[in-house]
Amino acid sequence: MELAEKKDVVAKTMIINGKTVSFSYGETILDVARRSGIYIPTLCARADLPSTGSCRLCIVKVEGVRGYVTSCTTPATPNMIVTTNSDEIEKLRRGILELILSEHPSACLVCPIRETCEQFNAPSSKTGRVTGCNMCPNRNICELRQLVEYLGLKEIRYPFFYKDFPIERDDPFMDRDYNLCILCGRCIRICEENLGISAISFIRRGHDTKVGTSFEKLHVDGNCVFCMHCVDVCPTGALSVRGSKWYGYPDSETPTTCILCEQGCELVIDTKWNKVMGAHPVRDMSIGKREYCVKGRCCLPTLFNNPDRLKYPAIRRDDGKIIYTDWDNAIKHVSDILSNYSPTEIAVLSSRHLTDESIYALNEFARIYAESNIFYLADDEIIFPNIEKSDEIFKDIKILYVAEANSLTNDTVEKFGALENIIIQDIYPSPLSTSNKVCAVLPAMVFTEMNGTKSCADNRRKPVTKAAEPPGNAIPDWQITVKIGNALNSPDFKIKDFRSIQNHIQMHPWTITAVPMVPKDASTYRGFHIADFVPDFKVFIERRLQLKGEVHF
Amino acid sequence: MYELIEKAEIFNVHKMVIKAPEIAHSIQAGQFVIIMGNEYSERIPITVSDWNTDTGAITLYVLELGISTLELARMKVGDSLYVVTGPLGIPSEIKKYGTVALGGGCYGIGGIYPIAKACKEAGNKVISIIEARYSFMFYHEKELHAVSDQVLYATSDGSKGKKGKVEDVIREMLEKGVKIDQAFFIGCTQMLERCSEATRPYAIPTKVALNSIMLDGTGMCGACRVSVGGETKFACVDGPEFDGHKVDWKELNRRRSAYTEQESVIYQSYSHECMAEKKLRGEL
Repeated sequence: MELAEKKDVVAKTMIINGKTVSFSYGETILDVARRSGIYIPTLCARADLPSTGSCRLCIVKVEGVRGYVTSCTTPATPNMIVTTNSDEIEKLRRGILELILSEHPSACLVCPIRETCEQFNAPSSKTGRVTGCNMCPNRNICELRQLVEYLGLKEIRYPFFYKDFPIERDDPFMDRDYNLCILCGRCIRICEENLGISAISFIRRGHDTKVGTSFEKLHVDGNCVFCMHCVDVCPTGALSVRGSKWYGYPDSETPTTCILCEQGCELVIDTKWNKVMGAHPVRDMSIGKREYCVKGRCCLPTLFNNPDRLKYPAIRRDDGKIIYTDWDNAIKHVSDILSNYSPTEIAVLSSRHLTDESIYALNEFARIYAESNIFYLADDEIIFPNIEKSDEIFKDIKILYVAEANSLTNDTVEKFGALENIIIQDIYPSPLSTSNKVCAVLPAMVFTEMNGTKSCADNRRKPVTKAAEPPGNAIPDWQITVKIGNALNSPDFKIKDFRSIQNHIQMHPWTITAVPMVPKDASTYRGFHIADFVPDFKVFIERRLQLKGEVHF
Repeated sequence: MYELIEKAEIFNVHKMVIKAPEIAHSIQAGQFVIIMGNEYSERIPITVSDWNTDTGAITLYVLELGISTLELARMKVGDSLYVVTGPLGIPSEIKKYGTVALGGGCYGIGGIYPIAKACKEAGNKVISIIEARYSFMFYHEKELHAVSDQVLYATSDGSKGKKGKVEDVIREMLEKGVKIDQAFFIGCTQMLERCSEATRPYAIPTKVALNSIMLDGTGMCGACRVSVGGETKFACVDGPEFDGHKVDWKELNRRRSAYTEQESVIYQSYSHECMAEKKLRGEL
């Protein structure tokens, strides 16, 4: 492709199915056909992977060449005449598919009552060992099924050989059933060629051939990073993410940005029942070639659907009891308390994990009502974006507005000599929320539940898009701050809604760039350890620490 | 307390032999037990396939279909179940019918065995028909042969017996004029429905063992209610066997899928005792 961009290469042409098409140097017949809108069935080839020609379904007839060639590995040459489709080719492809299916549980594929059965079993039954489509988690996106439809395969002439491998469920996050594997090698290629990890390879020989790690160790004991790209490219149900495999068709797929760290990877969120059910890269990974980390790929559903999430605003009554209330009451309660203090007595603890809008709102709140007393906590370090401030200010602070309660350790709290009240705005309960200084706990949204933007490490502001509903009455952080700010009634507090915040960010971008970023290896979200909420992540981290003494994502 | 004394997997069907002498002594053909793997498990109703009053063991065939059955599937010989309640439900009506046809699929292959045995002992001609996707997925065959005059097979890929399902075998038999006086079916709801439809034109008395969602199994909660002939019945105390020609299948299927959301979401937070965890603790 790079060579094609050189000026001295003149556009060349070839003929596919009687249609004259131009091609560039280095393209294969499959590349040219795909670009020209001509479909050639493939199982092992993918646009984002190097081709090996192992499944042989992409065979085509090239005039003057004996037999049939695999289009994924044959380079296009000038004046080549190619036929991608004929009765003979279809027959050969059906034969090849039959042979592939003789080692893949395929009775359901050609079963006469398949349709009614799948309606009955929708979504698939949640079995351990998959012996048919009606129990397969990959049913909706299975490429074998698509090919059976395309080639009109009605019968498999060969007896079925079940490999009878044990089901591999002993790794965190990942289930593997190599009885479904067709040995296309996509997982191996993506791991080796695209990511350079090579955690897996073909092991054993003959009928026993399977994909596995060296010495058949657990993945967590090897060098697998659990990016799950192998799952993403698998054409069958052999590989799956245990937590997000049984929901069938998602109601919607929403592209958004993962803001767990400064990388800001593009993620697609699968939503069903208004909940985050899965997160995966865009299907064609050649667009964003990047290794995803285990946090964004595997932890989000568990982290965000946790039943412990804060759901309703709560305030402390005069008698000391904490009660649930509605937003109007809660905001009135909070603003009444805040109005008792002068700006030098108020401080704001913001969070690096908030969207730009929420960060800006907190910033603006601090500027108007708290003498710009705003700080961040990063790995026990106190960071003041306003360089004129230091922890000297803490001795005068009487009320703290906290957006990341769990990172506020006792040591930090002790620096506040005169602290009387704490307002918490968070996603989970934390040890701090039981403190008798807490006057209100306000439930906020996580990033999959709201719209906004996030500034990332590559100096780009990336879109954050709502994919799921929040639990209970939780609202976005910026909205909470705007509500409190407006209730305090200063004419200088000018932000009223989402649009006005975005306009302000355009005008004052430095307010965002001054915020410290979350490093890639961070294992917290808003001060909470992801491992405390995602059991498999805990296993992953602890096992890696035990084996290698360090853990990277 | 309820010790697991034998465990084997037959392609997602898990054979569990459990020590439960009280149940083994009092159970009759067609009855079921409710089991829990641990104190947080769902309560799962399971047909008892065999029992031995000498050893006090009962044999269950459990299909893995969710988190609670996954936990059961991962149990090992020597482990104990938290709860085994039973026998529950009304026993099958066993008398001299003449010719009895029994159809079983999935866990039903084991499920029809005690009924076949009792029918045989009552002097009936017993025809057992079992289905599976592939020939290698059959189990409990030897025992079934011992209590049946005839065992017929149906496989989806045609690798053993007729290519098709139990319903196809039944239909073929009836078309050939084989006289059947009573039919029993145990298996998934879809199989029960289709088999009942096969016997309906010939007005063959058909009993199906329903598998609705169940909690206490003693008629208190009403979770297992089904409509049979326009009447609301409890599968646990009025069943599990009902007239297959009168069951409201649509309603049953809807009720069975009532918790699809919760059943899927729970996989997000489920962490089983995996090998990695055991290695972590130095147990492996």
